[in-house]
Amino acid sequence: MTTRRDGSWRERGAVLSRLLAALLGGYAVSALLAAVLALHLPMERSEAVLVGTMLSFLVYALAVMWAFAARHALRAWTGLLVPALLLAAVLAAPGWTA
Amino acid sequence: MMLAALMLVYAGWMALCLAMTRHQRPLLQRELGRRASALLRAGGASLLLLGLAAALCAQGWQIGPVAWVACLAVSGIALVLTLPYRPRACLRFAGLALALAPLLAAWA
Amino acid sequence: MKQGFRQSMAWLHTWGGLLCTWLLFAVFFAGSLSFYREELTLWMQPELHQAQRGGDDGLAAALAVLQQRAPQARSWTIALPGPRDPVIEARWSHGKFDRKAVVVLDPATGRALEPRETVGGSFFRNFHFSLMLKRTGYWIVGVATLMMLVALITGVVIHKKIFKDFFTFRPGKSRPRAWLDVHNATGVMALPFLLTITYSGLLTLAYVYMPAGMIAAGIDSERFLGEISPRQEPPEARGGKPATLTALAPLLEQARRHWQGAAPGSVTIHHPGDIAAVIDVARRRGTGITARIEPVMRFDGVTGRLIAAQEQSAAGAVTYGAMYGLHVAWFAEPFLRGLLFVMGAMGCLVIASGAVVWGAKRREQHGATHAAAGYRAAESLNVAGIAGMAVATAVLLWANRLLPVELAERALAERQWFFGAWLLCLPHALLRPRVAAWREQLWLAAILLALLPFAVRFSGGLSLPQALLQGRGAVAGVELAALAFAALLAWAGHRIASVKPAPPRARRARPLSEAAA
Repeated sequence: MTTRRDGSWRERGAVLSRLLAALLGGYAVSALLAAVLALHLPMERSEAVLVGTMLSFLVYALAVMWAFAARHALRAWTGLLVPALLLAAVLAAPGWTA
Repeated sequence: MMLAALMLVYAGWMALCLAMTRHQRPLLQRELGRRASALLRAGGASLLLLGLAAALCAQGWQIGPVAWVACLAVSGIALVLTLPYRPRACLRFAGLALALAPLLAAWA
Repeated sequence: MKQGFRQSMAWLHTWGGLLCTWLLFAVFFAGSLSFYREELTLWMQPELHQAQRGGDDGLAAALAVLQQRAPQARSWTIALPGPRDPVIEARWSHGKFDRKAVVVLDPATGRALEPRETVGGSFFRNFHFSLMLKRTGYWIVGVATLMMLVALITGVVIHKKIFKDFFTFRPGKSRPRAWLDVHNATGVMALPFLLTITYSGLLTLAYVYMPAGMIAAGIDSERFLGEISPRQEPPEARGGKPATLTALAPLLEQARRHWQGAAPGSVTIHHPGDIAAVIDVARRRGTGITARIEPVMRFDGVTGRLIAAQEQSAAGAVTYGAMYGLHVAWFAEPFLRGLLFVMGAMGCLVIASGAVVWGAKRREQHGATHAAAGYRAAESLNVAGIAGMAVATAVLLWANRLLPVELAERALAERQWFFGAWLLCLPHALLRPRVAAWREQLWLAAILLALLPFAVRFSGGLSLPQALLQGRGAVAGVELAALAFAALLAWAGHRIASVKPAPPRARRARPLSEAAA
């Protein structure tokens, strides 16, 4: 109950920001993870796609929780964007694609 | 056999419930000692496991565990939602379920 | 959100849950009914009530019909009758799927039946993942399902006394407290089911929601699904020379032996009547826990020689198949199916009781007189979303019985009655006082359902006593369930009518997060 009863615009903005971080940032992290696992898991390609896709939903749920657990909205964003960038880097790294 | 599993699991939940101090007075009009509670806890857990065995016998290794989890949920919520209204009837039913379970297992 | 992990999780649980309450309730409600999709479909087609399995299950009759109606088809598919579906379906295809290219037969007599056009039980299945909005609906339901998964995890996090409160339900305490007990106990007892059904629900549409892995690996959704199921390569081209089809019965027998007694569920004949004819026999779904990966045996259509026996054994695909199978529960025999339905209802109860806790807390904090427009709207949505859903379902079942059989676009009309009734429940809930709205909608649904067994007079088919006497479990079951639900809804309406509005309290109650934990 962060906004308790004050519901100031500042607080509302923070909640909205976290909501966006949860839905969009969380999706970015989990989708990138699915892609990285699909390419780099040491198993048959179609199997890797399945495993990565199945795991990504759990990561998404945890990401949503993180977005609301972080101490401030900014931290929620960085906590999601940093892993997203790392995953994107792995994905983009030349020669790594199997 | 599935019905036997359901009965065993119900009796098991009831035993676990009886092992908790807060439920002993409404059900038994007195509080049980530590030993009795521990015994009930062990008995309840064994009954739940016996229910799993019955479910595995009835449905096999793939579907049996699913059926067991279903029995746990349905008998558990039936117990919780009726307990405060008819504690004695729940207790009697658990006894009946325990008595019926072997018969049901033998019959099916 | 500076108050620590548990409190921020409580906040997320409360508001995230509330935001999706009505949607999730509708999804769980329709999803629970989907456990009885085939039974509902049969009930909604009174023309099929008398069909019975027998002899060769109508295989010869099906082949004769196909030969007569579509000798030039690219493929024929015969869906064999099963324990939940008494009729045999003969479909043909000229390459594209055609809904109308099907004949339904009575397996015992081989007679063609003419079932009415209806949405069938599939309506609830389709509604529960698409809201009848196609892709848009998938995504709306997907976001709500993700929220459900989050609510389940956060629910466990904020529940301080899972074991101590395991059997606790105190109806004598204050209303929010008693409903919170219901919410907690149901949620904890059904937790394994709820987690599984929610997660596997996301996975059933994984190729829509999370295509990133597929895109990265260069696999399209068609191939994604194709690699899960052991689907055969399309057969070679037509030979061009006519040839007689081999007898099907020995092939089915061979398949049954190969699958250790598990029954075949369908037969597909590619290039019927041609020298290059090929026959695929698929195992009946629901033989094991997995779904979507039914093994297939392929035979030469002229000589009857076994070409290949395909079985999916890759670990990932089997895991996916098991998750899918757990969601659709084709494996469940009647007793287990009943338990699954009850657990689905428990899911509805968790969601609804959560909303009630929220509303009761609000009223306790602000008093019954304090009715801000937002809270009033939320309460009305509760009524229309929960009681209105029951009304709409009852109306759909009645529309199925009353709409003339020859009506064009009949299935669409049935759907319109469902949504029309549901839509009307909203202004009713907004205009009437809260308790009156609950009572009236619950009782309306109860009356409609209680009278449902009489609807047979308008449609033909088996009446309830006939169905019971002839042991037609599906038909009798639907009507008995309607009567049981009528009693339940009438009781609920009665209980709610006897509830006095809580007196406004001067002292501010404990904040919700504390009570929810």
